[in-house]
Amino acid sequence: MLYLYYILSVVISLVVGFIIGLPVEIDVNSFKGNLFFPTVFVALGLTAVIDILFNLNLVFTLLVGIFSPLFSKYVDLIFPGVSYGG
Amino acid sequence: MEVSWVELIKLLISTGVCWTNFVLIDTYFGLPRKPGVLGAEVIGKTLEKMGGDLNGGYFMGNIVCSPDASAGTLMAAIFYYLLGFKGGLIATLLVYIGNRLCNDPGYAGTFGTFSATVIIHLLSGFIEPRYFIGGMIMAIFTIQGLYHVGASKVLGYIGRKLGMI
Repeated sequence: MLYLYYILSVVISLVVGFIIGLPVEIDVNSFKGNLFFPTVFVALGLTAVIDILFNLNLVFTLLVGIFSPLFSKYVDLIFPGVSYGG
Repeated sequence: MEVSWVELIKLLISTGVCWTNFVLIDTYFGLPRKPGVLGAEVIGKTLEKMGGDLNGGYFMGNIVCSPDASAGTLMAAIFYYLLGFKGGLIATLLVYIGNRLCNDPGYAGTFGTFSATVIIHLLSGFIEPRYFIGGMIMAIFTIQGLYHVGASKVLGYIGRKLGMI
């Protein structure tokens, strides 16, 4: 039943992302994050890292669910892209 | 060391699967359309001068300059081999970070890695993950090693057929 934690972390991250106002539209050429990208993949990846390093529980799932949309919101500040070739 | 036919067929099937996965996803997310960095433009222009295709050259330059679905498929195969499905998810996160460090929005690499993980998981009953590591190396060799001009023409043709250029 471990995979339930993965689903839970994705659901929490989507709900938190919706609350903090991430845009729903997906723009493939934009460096800004949106509600689904990279939120879902960051949540899944971090959950997998914690699953391997520690053990999954509700607290870790909640932390990942809160961190992922925040990362997604500020991803263009953490990893800024430069406009070239466009 | 003798090579059994079953192993060879598994390797060839995994090569085909990896090739299709990374070429289709990279083309869909616009790798042949424009160079992401200066190096990709240089590779594209050089290939055009050598008689190849400009857009196919951009595709190949973008593969060299950023971990797109090609590197993603290889990472997914290695991580799946080591850690199972969870490993594929970690590879997706790492490829995304690598993409962003290389001035790439990250869609091609991330979706490529994730789809490769799902495909390897679905096929793991018939073809073990280790064949996908070899298969992806063969697949990338056909693009980046064998004959660059011909490869750029094939990639440009696929891009135009899919209407992505």
